[in-house]
Parts: sequence; structure tokens; C-alpha cells
Amino acid sequence: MSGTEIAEATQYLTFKLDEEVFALDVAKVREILDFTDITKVPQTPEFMRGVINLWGSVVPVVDMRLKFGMSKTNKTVNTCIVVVEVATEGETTVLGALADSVQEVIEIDPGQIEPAPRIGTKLRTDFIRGMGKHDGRFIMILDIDKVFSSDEITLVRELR
Amino acid sequence: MKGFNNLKVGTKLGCGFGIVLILMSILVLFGIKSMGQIQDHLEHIVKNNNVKMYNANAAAKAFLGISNNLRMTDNEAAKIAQKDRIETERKIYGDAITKLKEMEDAQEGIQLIKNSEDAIVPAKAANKKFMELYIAKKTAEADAVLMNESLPLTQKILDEFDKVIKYEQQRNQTRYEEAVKAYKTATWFMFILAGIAIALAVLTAVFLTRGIVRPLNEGVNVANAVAVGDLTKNIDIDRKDEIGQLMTAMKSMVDNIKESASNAEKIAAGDLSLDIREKSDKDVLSKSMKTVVETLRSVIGEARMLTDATLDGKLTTRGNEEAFVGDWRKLVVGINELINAFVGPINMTADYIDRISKGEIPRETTDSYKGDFNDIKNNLNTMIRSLNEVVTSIREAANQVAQGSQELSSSAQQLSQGSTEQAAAIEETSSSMEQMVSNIRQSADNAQQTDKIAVKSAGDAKEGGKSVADTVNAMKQIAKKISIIEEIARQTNLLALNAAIEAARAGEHGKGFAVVASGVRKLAERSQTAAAEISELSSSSVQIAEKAGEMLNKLVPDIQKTAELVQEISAASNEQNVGVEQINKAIQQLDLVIQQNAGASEEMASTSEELSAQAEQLQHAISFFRVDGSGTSAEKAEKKTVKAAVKTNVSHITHEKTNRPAPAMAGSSKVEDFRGGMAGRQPGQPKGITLDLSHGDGDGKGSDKLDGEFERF
Repeated sequence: MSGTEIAEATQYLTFKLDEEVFALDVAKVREILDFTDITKVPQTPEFMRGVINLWGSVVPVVDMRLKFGMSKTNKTVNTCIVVVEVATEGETTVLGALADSVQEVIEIDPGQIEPAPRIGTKLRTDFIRGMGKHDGRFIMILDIDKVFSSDEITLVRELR
Repeated sequence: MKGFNNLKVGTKLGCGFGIVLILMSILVLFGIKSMGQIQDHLEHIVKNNNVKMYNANAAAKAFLGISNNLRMTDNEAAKIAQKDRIETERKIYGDAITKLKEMEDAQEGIQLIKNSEDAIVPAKAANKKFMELYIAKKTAEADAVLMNESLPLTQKILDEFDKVIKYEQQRNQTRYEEAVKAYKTATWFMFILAGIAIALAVLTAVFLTRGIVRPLNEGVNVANAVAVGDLTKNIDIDRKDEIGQLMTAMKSMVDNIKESASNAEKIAAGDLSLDIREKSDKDVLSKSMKTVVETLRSVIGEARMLTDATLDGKLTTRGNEEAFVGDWRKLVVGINELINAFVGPINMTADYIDRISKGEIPRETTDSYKGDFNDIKNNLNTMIRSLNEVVTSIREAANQVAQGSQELSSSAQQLSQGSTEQAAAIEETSSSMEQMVSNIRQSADNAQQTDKIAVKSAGDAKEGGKSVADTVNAMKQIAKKISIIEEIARQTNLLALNAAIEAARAGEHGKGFAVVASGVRKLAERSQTAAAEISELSSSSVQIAEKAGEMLNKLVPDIQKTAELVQEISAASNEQNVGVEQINKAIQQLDLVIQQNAGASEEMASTSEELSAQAEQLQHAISFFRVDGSGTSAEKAEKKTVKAAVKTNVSHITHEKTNRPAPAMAGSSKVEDFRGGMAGRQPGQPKGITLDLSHGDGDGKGSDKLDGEFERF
């Protein structure tokens, strides 16, 4: 992670987990879906909520709240599945991430992005690209490729 | 039996004893005869058979002695002695056989004795032969003869005699048995005879005793009955013996007594017309009865004469005492005294009644009489006393009635006045009541109208509640629809986001599209916010409307309750109306009663006038009696008046006070009391006018003024 990587203005999709606002690079997002029925797959870790049918292909769904050590996601009208493309070891994996609500697509100037703090947070920081400032508050910009470990990705792949 | 009854008692007794004596004689004769038979048998046994046996024995013994003496000694002298002895023995048995022959009368015995005698002849010869040989010293031959001839022959003789003895013993036995037989027969026969004799004797005794004792008892019964005066016993004579004669005599005696008794009965029944005949000079009973009848006749004659005289009212006639003696005289004297005893009080009573009839009430009599005559005197005295009291009471009562009637008149006047006043007051009351009725009616009308309004309000409130409920439903519908809009807005938002993402991924080419997407997203957001606001508003409206409905629902029962209460008020007003009408009616009746009272009081006034006139008449009538001895009887009258006052409710006033209008007069009638009685009539008191004149001993409270009023009438 370096400051050059975020030198140009980029558009981000913001979403909420609990009361915290996170952001994802729009280029990594394929689309947003309403929370539909998820088929539970047995013998999988708890944060794996199951799989959904997306335009005929099987897409595994992960619970971001569980992944980030929060309580399990409860279904509301605003609950969404954000379909993202995860690139690991030269391969792109499509998976659905459960978010409490999706906010908007915003553009953040690279000058407005601070590097992720080293200490004082409950999260591991390598998967945080930076802390973007928007409307006077911080948004955690996630590096989705680093959120999941390679084992987890392998598991997801096996599910397809 | 009849014939037997007719036999004399002596004859009967003779017959009875004769039968018994004959039976006894037969018994005795038979006994003697039987004893004689037994005696014969005994005699035969003792004097004949025993002697015969003895002789036979003696003969046998003599033979034995001969045999023994035949060969005893060789001594010559002794031989001669033996020969003598043999001779003696021979003589003994010869005598014995002779005696036997004499005594034996039976053929068999004679034969046996003869056999014995026949046996003796050869023995005698043998013995003689032995003796001869023995004397000849031919001892051997002699012994041979003795052994072979003499001894067997002697034995034969002994045997024969034995037979004789046995035969005699047999005869003895026979005789004894006959004697026993005779004794047994006699015993049986005597038992039977004695039994028959005893039975016959008992029968005869019973028969005789009954034949004598029964008629005697009958006689005794009759005599006992006569002794206690019972002459009804019937005496039947069906026999001619001594008892029959006794009964005949008794019957004639009873007949005589009966005749006397019937005479006495007639006298007792009052029949003195009978003729009594004397049966003999010594018939004291008949004579006395005759005298009794005559004396009774003359006494009755005297009594009748006195009764007739008394019936004719000749109370001076008395019976002739000199014509009678003894207790008869006492009787006549008694009748005379009786008449005297009656005449005295009757004369006295007659005199008193005569005086009373003339209006003069005499003093009480002090003559002394006995018993019931004294009662007559006492009753007469009581009558005089009562008469005195009655006359005094009537006189006082008349005075009081006269006075009371005047008071009554004044009271009636006042009553009339009071009635008029009452009538006026009632009229006023009546008009007031009418006003009240109209007020009550208006109240009732108002209440009814209020009731209608309340009912209508209740209906309106109900409808209002329904409308509110409809509103609530509508609001809820709106809220539902708003949620659809919200959903659409959300979906639109999502679409806009996706569009924005697509635009971003398109890079520079998607920039314009991104702007559109952003605008769409903003619109969606706005519509979402607006929908949320509408939803909130609608939910709060629903709450308000529900509250309004609730309040309206609460209002309905209150209004209904109001309507009910108003209805009750209306009903109460109606009842009041009815009650007031009843009161009106009652007042009208009261009016009528008051008018009647006015009329009655006038009538009372006229009645009291009439009463006054009649009281005067009564005073005049009672003045006929002159009460004798004013001193004591007046005092007594005073005492009695108190009782009279209590009884008749007439006030206690004395005679002299009537004419004086004294203020403190005890018996003044109290109009005030009367008024009070009218005004404060208690519900328990009877209807109609109660004239209370009994407050005789009034304390004079307010009586002065009233007495003044009374004076003017």
C-alpha cells in the first residue's frame, strides 16, 4: 500500500455496517442486489451465509459484519448484497457481501484520503486502503482483495 | 220321687237305717257262719285226727316194746316181768286200736286199721311160739323163730301203722286246707258285702240328707227374705211331709203380711179409701193401720180446710189443735205456725209496697225475721235503698242533662262558626293546589322534551363514533399505500445506485449517465423522505381519530343515562300530577265534610234544646218520689253519684249547684277541649264528632271565659 496508488480521483460506493460507513472502489463492484433468499451451504464457516443465483451463476455470500467481528446481520428493508470482484493470485472471484444499507456512489479526492492508522482500531489495517473524508466524517475505504485470506477465497471458489 | 217326697221324715229315716241294719246283720251272720266252719275244721284236726295219730303211734310204740322185750334176759324173774310187760303193752295197743276204730269214720281209714289188726294176728302167733320155745329153753329155735318170723311180722305191723299215721297226717292237711279255703272265701265275701253295705249306707245318707236339707233351706231363704221385708219370694208346695206343712204355714203368713203391706202401700200412695178388716182379736197391726187411716183422713181434712182458706186469702183462719193428740197435734200446730210465719212478712211487704206506690219511700224496716224471711226483709231494705239511690241519681242526672244540653248548644254554635272558617281556608288551599298542578304539568312537559333531545343526542353521538371509525380505517389504508410508495422509492434508489456503478465502471463515457443516475437517486431519496413523513402523519392521525372515537363512545352511555334520568323525572312529575289531583279530590271531600259538619252542628243545637226540654220533663217526673230521711240518704246518694258519673260520662255535679253559674263549677263543659279534640284528632280515633264531656274535674284552665259564654245562653 502506497500513496501513489490513490493518486487519482476515484469513485467509491459507500455502505454501512452497523453505524460505521465503509467504502469500496466502484471498479470492484459489479452490482447491488436486494437481500434475496440465500441457500445455506453446510460445512462452511459461519461468516459464509450461503450462495445465491446471479444471472445463472452461483455466487457465494459472506457476512461482512461477522467477518469484521460484529454480530450477525439481521434482515431489514435496507439490507443489500453488494456483488464484488475479488482478485487473488491472478484470479478474479465474484462474491456477494452483505451490507446493512448501501449509501451512495461518491467521488473522493486523493488529498482527502488519509493513510490507515496503525494502532487504536479493532480492525486489521492491511485491508484498509485509507480513511477518506467526506462531509466532515471519515469513511473507511476497504481493499476488498485483502479482506479475505487465501484459504477463504479457496473455499469460496470450491463452492462455485 | 213324688211319692217318696210325700213320705214322712220318720219313715224315710226308718227305711234308711233299716237297709243299713239288714246289711250289717247279713255281714255278721255270714262272719259267724264262716268262723264256725273254721272252728269245725280246727276241732276235727285237734280232737280227732291228732288223737288218732296219737293212738296209732301208741300202738306202734307198744309193738316195738313187745319186740324189744321178747329177748332181753335169761333171768327167770326178769322173764316173768318181761312177760307181764308184754301183756301190758298188748293191752295198750289193744286199747289204742279200739279207740282208733271208734274214732275213724272214713272207709279208707277203717280199712287201714283193719289191715293193721290183720297183721297183728300172725305176729301174735309167732311171738307166742317164740315165747313158748324160749321158755322151753330151746333158745336156738326160739332165736330162729324170733329172727325169721316175729321180727318181720312186727315190721309189717309197724309199716301198717305207719300207713295209718300217714293217712291221718294227710287228713290233717286236707282239713287245714279246707279251713284256709273257708277263711279266704269268707274274707272275700265279707269285703264285698262290707263294700256294698258302705256304698248303700252312703247313698242312703246322701239321699236322705238332701231330701231333708234342701226344702229346709228353701224355707230358711223364704223366712230370711220375709225377715228383711221381701215378700216377692214365691213359695211352691209340692210335698205333704212336715216340711211341706211348714211351707204352707209360711205361705199363709206371707200372704197376710202381703195384704198388710199392700194396705200400707196404698196409704203411702195416699189412697185412704181402703177398708181394713181385722183377722182376729189379736191383730194389732190391722187395728193400728185402721186408726192411722182414720187419723190421716181427719188431718188431711184440716189441712185442706186451711189451704182453701189461704187460697181464698183468708189469712186469719187457723187449724183446730184440740181435735188431735200426740204428734198429729204437733203437725197441725206446725201448719198454723207456718201460716203465721208467712203472713207476717207478707203483711209488712204489702204495707211497704203500698207506701212506695203512693210515692213515699219509707225508711228501712228493723223488724227481725229468720232465714229466707230475713232475706225478704233484707231484699226489701235493699230495694228501698236502691230506690232511694236511683231516684236521687235520676234527679241528679236529669239536672246534669239539663245543664249539659245547654252547654252542648253553645258548643254547637262554636262548631258551626269553626266550620265556616274551615270552609274559607279550604277554598284558599284549593286555589293554591290548582297553581301547583299547573306548575307540575309544565315541569313534566319540559322533562319530556329534554328526554327527546337526549335520545337524539345519543343517536348523533353513536353516528359520530361510526364516522370516526371509518376515518381511522381510511387513514390505515393511506399508511399502507404510502409504504408501497416507500418501497418504490427504495427500489428506485437501488436502481440509481446500480446505474451510478455502471456509469463509474464505464469511466469517462459514463460521466453523463452518472449525473442522471445521481439525479434519479436524489429524487428517489426525496420521495422516500416525503413518504416517510406522510406515513408518520397518517399514523398520528389514526391515533387522534381513535381517541376521538373512544371519547364519542364514552359520551353515548352518559347521554343515555341522562335520557333515562330525564324520563324518571318525567314519570315523577306525572305521579306528582296524579297525587296532586288526589289531594285536590280529598280537599273537595273535606269541603263537603266541613259543610256537613256545619249542618250537623246546627242540628246538634236544636237537639240540645230538645234534650233540655226532656230533662226538665224528667225532673218533673222524678219529683213524684219523696225520699224519706234526707240526712243519711243524701250522703249515700253523694257517694253513689261518683259511680254514676263514671258510668254515664256525666260530670259530677250536685243538685243545688245547677242553678248557680259558679266559675269553679266542676262539671262545666269545656268547649276548648272539644275544639282541641276536633283539631288534633288522632288517626286512631273513630270518625265523626267526639263530644268529650267527661273532663268533670277540670282545673278551671280557661273555663272562666267559657263559663261566661255559657251564661249568656
